[in-house]
Amino acid sequence: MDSLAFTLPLLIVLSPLSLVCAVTGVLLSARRQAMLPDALSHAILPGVIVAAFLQGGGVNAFTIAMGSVVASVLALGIIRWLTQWTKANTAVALGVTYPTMLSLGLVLMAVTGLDQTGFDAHTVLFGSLDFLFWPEALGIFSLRPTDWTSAVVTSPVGFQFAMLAAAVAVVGIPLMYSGLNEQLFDEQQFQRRGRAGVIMVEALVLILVTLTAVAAFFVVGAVMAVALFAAPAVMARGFATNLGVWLGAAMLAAGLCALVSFSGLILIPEMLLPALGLDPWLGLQGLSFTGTYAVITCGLAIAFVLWPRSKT
Amino acid sequence: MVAESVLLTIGLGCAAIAFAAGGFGSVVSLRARNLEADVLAHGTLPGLVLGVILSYWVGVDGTLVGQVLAAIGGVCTAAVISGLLSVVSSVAKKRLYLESDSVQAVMLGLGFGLGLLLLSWVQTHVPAQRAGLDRLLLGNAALLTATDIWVGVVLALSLSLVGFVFKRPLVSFLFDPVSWRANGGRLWVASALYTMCLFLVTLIAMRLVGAVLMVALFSVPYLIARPWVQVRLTHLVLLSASMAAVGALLGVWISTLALGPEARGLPAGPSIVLSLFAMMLISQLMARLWQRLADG
Repeated sequence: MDSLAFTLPLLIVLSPLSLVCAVTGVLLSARRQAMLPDALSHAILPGVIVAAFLQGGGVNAFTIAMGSVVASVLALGIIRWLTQWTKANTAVALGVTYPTMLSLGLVLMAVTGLDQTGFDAHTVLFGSLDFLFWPEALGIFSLRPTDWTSAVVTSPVGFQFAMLAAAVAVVGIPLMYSGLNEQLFDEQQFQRRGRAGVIMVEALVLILVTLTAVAAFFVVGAVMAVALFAAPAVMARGFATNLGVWLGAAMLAAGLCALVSFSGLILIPEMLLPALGLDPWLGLQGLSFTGTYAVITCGLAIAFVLWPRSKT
Repeated sequence: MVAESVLLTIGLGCAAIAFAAGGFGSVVSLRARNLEADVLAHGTLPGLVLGVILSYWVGVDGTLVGQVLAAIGGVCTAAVISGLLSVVSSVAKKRLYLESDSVQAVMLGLGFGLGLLLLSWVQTHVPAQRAGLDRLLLGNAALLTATDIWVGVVLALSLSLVGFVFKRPLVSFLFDPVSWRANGGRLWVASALYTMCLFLVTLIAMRLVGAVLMVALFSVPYLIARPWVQVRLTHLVLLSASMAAVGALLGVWISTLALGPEARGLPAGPSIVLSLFAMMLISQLMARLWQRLADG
């Protein structure tokens, strides 16, 4: 049970993140922008580096938040400029924006000397879920409501952003459900809502993407973030009869995948195999949790697409 | 600092590799296949790690044979990933009405996730390989060997030759595949050539800027050249290739300047990408100004 203190935070951080990523992923995948979170999660690195440098290498959640949000807005601006002004297609615009912003971050990292402290290329690319240390997480269910604020303040940055994004999604998506639905399936009707209505729906999606991309950057790293978004949406697509069903099924898929990878990596080797008198790790200790989760979700998504089904 | 002659060799190698990648990249950008190329580059990661594991078991790690093994592994997994990508995209489009971007995202996650899984296994079981693998992800121009440089030069020359010889199939493949087929042309020649070149260029360019930044070498030079070329594909390819070479030289030169704390210099791959981006900004703004002046 001792190792549960280290492994439970993984589940507590990953589950809300994967749920809110699944919701955002469905919206993006329906708008044919599934690669956008990939660009954003790479692009926030310079913002994080500048924020960390301004406060002398520390990681204060609020400054980091401001830095990441500024950087992702900048990235969205570059993408928009490229597609509108230079008439580049989306693939080229994304292919220009994300390496440029990532390079800017890496160069800033070298210039400020932050690569000698906590940050390095590995943390940037692969996230810090495997090194997550949040000892208070174990006691989170026995806390009194008055202590919840302090528990949230001490929690990892990725978790705070995931909760923020979840709050936005819970309030915003039901409020604008009809607008979102119309935009996906009836563009003309959607445009009849007038300028304010269109902007509000666009803004909701962009805010959601920004918040979840920042959260995913800190938890699973710049590259793997995109899998959290797209895989549940692809898995759930086959069951979707309308947007609501698609959202629900994607959340279910993401939650199941988080549970499966958690039990596959933690519960089975720690609890089941010793009880059966087997070697608990089968020589596989130290496997990356993020990698396992990504392979399981993406593999399942591909299996769902390729699964043979009767023609009806 | 580094000796002049070494710097010259590295510069030549970088320019040759970037020339090949920039020229071919304009073809990729015209087809809007940049993100497929990105998925392919990320998909080499598991194979590279497998190659490292294999060469450790065989006992050839750190030698040229080990590097070749890693390269072969990278090509194999990249081929599997990109093959799966095309199959899954077409099935998903037919059955689920999903556009290919979602499938690209899933394949990207699968390739990199597998790589990360293998990497975490390597770190507990195979001693001291991390520096080499970091290099594969973000590149390191300062460590380019003489072999890399010659391979780069030969690649640039042979790509130019292939482009020259197969110009007609390539042009029709890009702009009007249907009429080419109707006139009895063989589409598979161009398509096979395209795929082969994509693999070769990706593998070599990765040694310059790494798997993660590779797509920039494909996309940015195209946008530098695009506003200045109206009609001819040859002009576009040559212009973006030479702009990529100039940008790579500029980036490598900046990275060797004594910048940063303790004058450690900057990482070369990111400096190349940033100088290319600066060139793109200048080129686009100048094209706008030029247009204004021409319009009067």
